[in-house]
Amino acid sequence: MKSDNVLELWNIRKEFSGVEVLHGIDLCVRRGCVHSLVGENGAGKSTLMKILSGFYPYGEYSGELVIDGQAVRFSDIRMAEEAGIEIISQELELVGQLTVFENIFLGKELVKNGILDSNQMICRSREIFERFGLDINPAMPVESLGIGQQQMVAIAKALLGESKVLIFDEPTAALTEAEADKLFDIIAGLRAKGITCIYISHRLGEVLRLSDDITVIRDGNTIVTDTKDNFTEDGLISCMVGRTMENRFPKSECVCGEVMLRVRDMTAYNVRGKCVVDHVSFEAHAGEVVGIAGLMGSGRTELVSCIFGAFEGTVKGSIELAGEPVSIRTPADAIRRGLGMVVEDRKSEGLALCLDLIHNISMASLDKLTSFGVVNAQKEVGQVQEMIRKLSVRASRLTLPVERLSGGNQQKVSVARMLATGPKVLILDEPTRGVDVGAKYELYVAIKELAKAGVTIVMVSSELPEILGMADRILVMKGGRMTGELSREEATQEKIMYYATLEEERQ
Amino acid sequence: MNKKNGLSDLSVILKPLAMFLVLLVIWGIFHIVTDGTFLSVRNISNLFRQMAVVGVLSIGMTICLIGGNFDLSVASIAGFTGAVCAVLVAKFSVNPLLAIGAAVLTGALIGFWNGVWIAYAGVPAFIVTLGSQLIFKGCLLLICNGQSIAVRDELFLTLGQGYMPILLGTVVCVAGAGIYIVLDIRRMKQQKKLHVIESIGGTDIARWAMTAVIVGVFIMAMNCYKGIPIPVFVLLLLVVGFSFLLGKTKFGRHVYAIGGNARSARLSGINGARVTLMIFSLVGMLSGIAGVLTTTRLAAATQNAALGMELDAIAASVIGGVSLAGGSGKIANSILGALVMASLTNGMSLLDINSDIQFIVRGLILIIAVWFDVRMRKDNG
Repeated sequence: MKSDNVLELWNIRKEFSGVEVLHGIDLCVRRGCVHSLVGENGAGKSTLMKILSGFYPYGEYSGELVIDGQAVRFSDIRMAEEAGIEIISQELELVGQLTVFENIFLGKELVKNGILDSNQMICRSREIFERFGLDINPAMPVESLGIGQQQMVAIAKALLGESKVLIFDEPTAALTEAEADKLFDIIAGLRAKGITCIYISHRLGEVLRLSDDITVIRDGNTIVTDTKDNFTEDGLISCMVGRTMENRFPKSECVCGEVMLRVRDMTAYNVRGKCVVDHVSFEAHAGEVVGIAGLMGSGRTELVSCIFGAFEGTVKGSIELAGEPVSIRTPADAIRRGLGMVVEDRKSEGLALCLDLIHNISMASLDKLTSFGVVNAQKEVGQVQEMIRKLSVRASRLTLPVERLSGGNQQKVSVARMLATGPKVLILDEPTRGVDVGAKYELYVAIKELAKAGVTIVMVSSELPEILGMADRILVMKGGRMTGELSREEATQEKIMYYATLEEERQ
Repeated sequence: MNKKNGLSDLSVILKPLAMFLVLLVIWGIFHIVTDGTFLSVRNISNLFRQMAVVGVLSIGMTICLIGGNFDLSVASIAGFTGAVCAVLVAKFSVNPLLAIGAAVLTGALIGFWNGVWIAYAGVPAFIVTLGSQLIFKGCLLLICNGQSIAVRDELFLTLGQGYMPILLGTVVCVAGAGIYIVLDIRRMKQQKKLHVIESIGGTDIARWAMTAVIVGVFIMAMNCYKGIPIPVFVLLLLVVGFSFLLGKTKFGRHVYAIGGNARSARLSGINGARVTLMIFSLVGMLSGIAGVLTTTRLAAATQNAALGMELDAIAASVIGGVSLAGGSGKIANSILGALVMASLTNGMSLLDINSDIQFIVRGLILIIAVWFDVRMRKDNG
């Protein structure tokens, strides 16, 4: 019996160290459709997809997985692939040094007489690309391709097997508009060939344009599944957030003081000699929240790393803090001068996950807490508690390793560490990535409080609503250059995207 | 979630307790198969004296591992520095105290040399310390020239083979334990006042009780023979000093920070290279002390002094719960691990098991201990 649904998930539950994150999710995907999954960061989309793709084996979750009317229990990714489910994840799992065809055939190499059959593999790769009208040379190393083309390689890799269901996890986050259009054509082509696509994205415009069906997930629950026609963008947002748009950001008036941070002609080359920041100049005032928008790879993170002295490469340009020229070569210099930065990737760079809250929060401010090299425990705990109160960090005790905290609380700890140094300028790189809605709001409030107290905030964010809601002034980057500056009043999503995708000739 | 936290609170106590159990089982087995020789007061005193060298090396290894590195050269450094002080005293009649100082300084300089290669030249610690292992093994052979260097010096003999006066040893140990418990009670009260903890619970009282019992039993056992062996006393002083360094100072925080996440530490303004250099210098210094202890115990420097002990030190640390991934561990627990390793060596020697078999057993234990560490981390992750 072949049902109408290629895929059904019933009552999926999953917990991490005793905390349930999926509370019985149901999902039915019709055959040959594009089915979008939307929800805030931390709603459980990625976790659900990891279950579906066999990353979490049966036993680590509970519930029923039905493919083509048959209940299945995957014990690893390979089994899911054999059942025809392939995932194209946010971080493309490609080996940069290998060529395109080697990546496509990784783990499924074609062999003739015990020797790799490269010609055959190159031909097959070319066939797949041609099917979608793509012009990619299969013999090129993957790292020499742009991010959009790399994604096509990942798709080609997934199409090699007999895939029934392709999962796209935030595929357009790093793409330019033209590349994204290309991707949409490909997805439409896949659909026409009868391949079911599950599409995860934050960009609701795309979702509405592309999907047949849409499911909204919030806080680990299925909120609603319906056909596209029954949704509007606003309707989707209120489903996702669980309340209306009104109070997503704390209201405040900017009382800007004098210029606190002045960056002039900042230019940076990465270790391979590529120019990633190109003559950027800007100013930020005391008490102001400056947003930096742009697509992935536009040089935002590199720019703020340069300012903080954390960039690994060659940096030129000058920085003035409160009117005084300063030389910042290392993060230590920056912190000493009253400049703090909360990095984008809290797990690999931000926190020491195995250490407790006390170690993590006081890590950058030990100078203030020690006399003759000995840490004053009373002072330290006092400071840690003050930070925890300010940022409403929720932890059962201070000696808990931070890996046991939720994403939102981890992020707050990350911010707390820099806040403890008493910065005059605080740089926040994607401060709410992977943070649940409640914690997000608390972070926004804390950021606004800081600004009110006269701290200059420089905030990098990929989420346009966040930038629009928080920033007093928005700078937009593209290809390492600053392509636009918008005041709070004139800024809209469309204007930001216009500058973020500005082509050379338009400038 | 709360239930889990409660459990992990308990595991802070349970881990050393489990190690104690392992130790008691090992002791019990050896006691039976050696017909009661193993747990005689004389052998226990002996066992602790033998443990002192591995113990001192374990302190260094623990610091190194917490900082996210490791050092394969500690035993070679110990062998070499032991020979340096023997030669200075026996051949050049240098004042023994001066010779000891020179040996410890030599160790620190060798550690500094390792550290420069690792922290500033960027050569992996595995290669640098493996290289140093060979270099200083070579230097030791060069100095010894096929013979052992006997040292006949009063101070040396006392240091290596003597005992603390019973009264002094007892008073110092009891006072030390008392001060520790009083300070800890004060700290907990302070934390309660600051609302870090809600109340002083059973686990805290258990910790104090355990400290008191261990110190009491230890002193009684030692005093039943001739008192605390001086090398063991030196080890205790080092344990206290370096525990303080790791737990209460800025430098200690930096060690945990770079071991926990080196990039995170850098972004917090910590100079990782300088901390790493410092760590390796300290490890070298401790190896120097271990070298002196080896020479004084044998009253001679030999070619095989401290042979293979770097692995004992790693095994001791890992058995003591230091994570090979860096960022976690405690010196006191590593010393328990060192006691486990020393007990195995001592017991096997009593049973007349040849050194070839001993090597095999020590190797297996190293692998199994690390396997446990890997397993534990997988379960928690």
